[in-house]
Amino acid sequence: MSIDSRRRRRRRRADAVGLAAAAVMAFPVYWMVLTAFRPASRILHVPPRFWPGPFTLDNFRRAIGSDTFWANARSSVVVGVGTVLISLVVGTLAAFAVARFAFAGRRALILVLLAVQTIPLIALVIPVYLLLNDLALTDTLTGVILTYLAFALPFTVWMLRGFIVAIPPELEEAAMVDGCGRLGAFRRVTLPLLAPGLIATSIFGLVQAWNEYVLAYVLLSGNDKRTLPVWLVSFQTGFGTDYGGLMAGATLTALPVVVAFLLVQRRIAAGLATGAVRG
Amino acid sequence: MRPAEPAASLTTPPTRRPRGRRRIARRATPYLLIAPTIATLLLVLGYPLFDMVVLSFQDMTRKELFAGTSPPWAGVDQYRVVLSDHFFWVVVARTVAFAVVCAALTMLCGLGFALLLREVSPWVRGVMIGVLVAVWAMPFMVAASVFRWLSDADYGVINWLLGRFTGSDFQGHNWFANPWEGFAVIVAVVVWGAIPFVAITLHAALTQVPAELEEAARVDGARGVTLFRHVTFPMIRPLFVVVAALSTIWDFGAFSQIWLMRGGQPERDYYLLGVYSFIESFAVNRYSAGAAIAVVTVLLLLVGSAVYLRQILRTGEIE
Amino acid sequence: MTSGLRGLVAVVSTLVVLASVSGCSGGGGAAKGSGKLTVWLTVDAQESWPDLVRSVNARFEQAHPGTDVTVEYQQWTSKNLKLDAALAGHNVPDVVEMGNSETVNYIVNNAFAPVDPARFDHAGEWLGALREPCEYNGKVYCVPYYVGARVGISRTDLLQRVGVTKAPTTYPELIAGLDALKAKFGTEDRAFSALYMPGRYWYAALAFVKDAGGEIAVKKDGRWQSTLSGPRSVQGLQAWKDLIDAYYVGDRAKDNSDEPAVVGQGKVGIFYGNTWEADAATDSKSGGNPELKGRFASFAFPGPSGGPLPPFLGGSELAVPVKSKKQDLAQDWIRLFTDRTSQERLIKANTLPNNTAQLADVDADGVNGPAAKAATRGWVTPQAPGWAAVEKANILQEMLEDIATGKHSVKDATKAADGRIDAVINKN
Repeated sequence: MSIDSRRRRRRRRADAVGLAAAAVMAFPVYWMVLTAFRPASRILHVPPRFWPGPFTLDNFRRAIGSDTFWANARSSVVVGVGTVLISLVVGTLAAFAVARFAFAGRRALILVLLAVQTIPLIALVIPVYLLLNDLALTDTLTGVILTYLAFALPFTVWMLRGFIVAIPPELEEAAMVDGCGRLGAFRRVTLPLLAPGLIATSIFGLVQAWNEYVLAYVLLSGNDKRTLPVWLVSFQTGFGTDYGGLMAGATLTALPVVVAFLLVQRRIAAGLATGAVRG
Repeated sequence: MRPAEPAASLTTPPTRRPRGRRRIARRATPYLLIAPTIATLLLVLGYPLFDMVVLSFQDMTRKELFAGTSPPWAGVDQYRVVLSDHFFWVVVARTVAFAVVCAALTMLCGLGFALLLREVSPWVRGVMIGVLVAVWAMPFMVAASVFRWLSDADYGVINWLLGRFTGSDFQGHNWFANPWEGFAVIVAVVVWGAIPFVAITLHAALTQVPAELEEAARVDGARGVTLFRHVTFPMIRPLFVVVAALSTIWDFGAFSQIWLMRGGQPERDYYLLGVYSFIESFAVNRYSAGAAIAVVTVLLLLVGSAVYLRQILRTGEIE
Repeated sequence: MTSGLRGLVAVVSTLVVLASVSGCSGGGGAAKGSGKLTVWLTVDAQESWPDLVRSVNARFEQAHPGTDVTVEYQQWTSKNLKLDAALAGHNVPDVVEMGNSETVNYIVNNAFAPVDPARFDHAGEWLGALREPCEYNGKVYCVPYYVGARVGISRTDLLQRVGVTKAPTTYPELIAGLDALKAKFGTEDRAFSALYMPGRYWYAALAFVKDAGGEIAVKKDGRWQSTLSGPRSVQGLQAWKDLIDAYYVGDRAKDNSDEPAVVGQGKVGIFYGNTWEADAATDSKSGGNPELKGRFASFAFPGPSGGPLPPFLGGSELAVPVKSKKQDLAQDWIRLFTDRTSQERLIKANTLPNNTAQLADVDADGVNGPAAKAATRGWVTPQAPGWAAVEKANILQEMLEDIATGKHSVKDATKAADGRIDAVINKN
């Protein structure tokens, strides 16, 4: 009984600390959403107002009504989904090789995959641009996807490798004994078990691709080909920053990722749990 | 953390398979599987990287850039100039300190969150994870402008709150006039944005720690910090080290946050290696000097991440 | 599970195909090269005269059937990085807008094709501040677009409440007005600035250097040399610093980029800015307050020397990249975009035209009248190959911030800046 009540007290204390921590973390997000719904004249104010006052949808109307919003949203979706799907397909193949085969150069490959993450992307802007230029891929979403792949793949392979290692190879062997080829065994046995891992990995890739700004800005010149983060910058004009519009736009930009994340949240936790511990 | 040895068991060919061509095919399989990844990396990273290294041994100006002619060879001049500049070493030291502080804080807060997530009631856990995800999804540039605004001298919430709670006057206090305070704000943005990844990953790892293990330790009288240090932490240690190393690497290359927080015009007091390289390349148009700084940055990172690589090799998993 | 999986695989592969297909169609590779003229303007055109862009495009497409004009809007802060990358490749825009302090470096590095001034309206009367940055070795490499001159802008209602009914014409009058504002509103509200003058506002600070007879940099024996630590320059900067100390209470480490929004909060008596900033301060889109409409008036800002403070003439040029394959068409688009009719439209948008002839058309009593008058005394940044680097490396901003915050004395800060400027100003 006393242990029980002590546990309960302990949990209540943890709840309080947890909620406080969440509140601190959430404050900037709250501020963003609050501003998004605030009339422009009330946005910059001393002392700051922490509670919603007069409420307006003007900022959202202005954001959605801007010439290129829908085109930019489409670009973002194409780039985000394209990057994630291709990196999953390509990455799974490599991860499978690394996890299941012993081959010369495997260790070197892993070291390269890890080392690649140390390269500062910003230093490569012009060389990458010139390369895509030679391939006639500047100002195309394909070019952007290709570039993002290079930055998403090492991480994807690394994560998926952990997930695949966690799947007992005996299962595949059993399927192969049952007459499946290696490909069949992979499709029927490994892939379904890998699903949570694929989802977890894809979310990491999605967040990166969805929010990247510098390369997208340099590589895409057409106004309607830009991705949403590049579009967001257009709220900072020579006249000053349209904070209301910017925050409304930012809320809209962040929303799909949050929704996607929450939808697959359970899968991610499960996926990370199996894959992560062996990271 | 049982060392996995799947590779060995699968590569031992099942005996009923014929040898010869199939064996060659099987030998080729892993290479075929990794080929697309390798090709992409070589093309989109390898080639530009090679370009960058070559560039650092040349002296490229806009004239050559625009005309597409090859710039004059400069040997190690760029490196000599860069490495003999006192300011460069100041930036290096600053970058190292920045990365270490950010990564340490990130890991500490992330671990705190992960541990809390285990303790709280399910609905609180839901709220916390929701918040973490929302923070994670926030675009960099938006996060930077929100923080810039929160710390604004005249309209910032931080000054107002400080004035309110300390009683002294913070109205008009500029957080970026003093680089120590400015970096405090920048570290806050970086850590804030990085906590979700660490917290969620570590939380996932913690759920894998068998409850019986901790229960048994508890029966043996282990409590609190002791329990964590001797039972729980060793279980998640390999992942912890990897995530910590990754965080350090990412923070070492920090660029966007500083660039955006200083409105695209960082003062020299705010230069980190990434910013320095960018300014040399694209503001001052000394592309080669910028490339040399970037190359040195990569080299420093590789040396630094040796720790991380060693940890991964030590877990034996890639054998 | 297996059928679900098969479904997943099918969906994945379809999406992959879709993604790559739409990526390709997004590329529009075929459309390029044929009948397309790409124009890079900065966001100002999108904000302030989008109708002019539309009408010029319509006129152009009528004159050149089969050629579509695509206008792409760029941000000032990041435009040149993108331009550098584009100019290094083959896929260049046909027309680019450049700031008049940015052109020289591009021209000496052979980025732009020469243009024929005879094709453009009022070419003989182009403002010096816009023409000079386009000239190099006897050729003209860009076309003036528009210019802005900064003036003083005051809250007439506040001035009236302290008994000032007419715009200050001399420096002592200005100081008297500021004192009155400070005495009344500054004591009521500690956040009130009689004069809004953030520390990194270099267009304002350097106007004081010019006013005192100083120079930013001079050319000696073919080499540029920074002269900010010269006695006159120091005197000008000291006057600027004294103004800040006396009348500005806000953040000294920022620049003027959010000026309209700050002014819109109502806690500023007088500021130094472009005339359109008064409109922006009443426009909720830029963070302003619509209730302040009609309460602003502009005046020629008096300088400590006795005359009006010489304003920096910040303006834009239009250039044709040397790699453009449609240089002739590009020049023709620029011709239409900068002709007499187009300039009239710019004047209506409270901007100053690119030539002295039409400068006379600006209503002397209108909000832009003082700016047009001040423009004749305007100055531009040194026409040195490395000047753009000086701006982009924030040398001036840092120097001014150090002065404004009191971190360094004017003398020390300018000495340090001179050293940094000398290191880059002569480089291509």
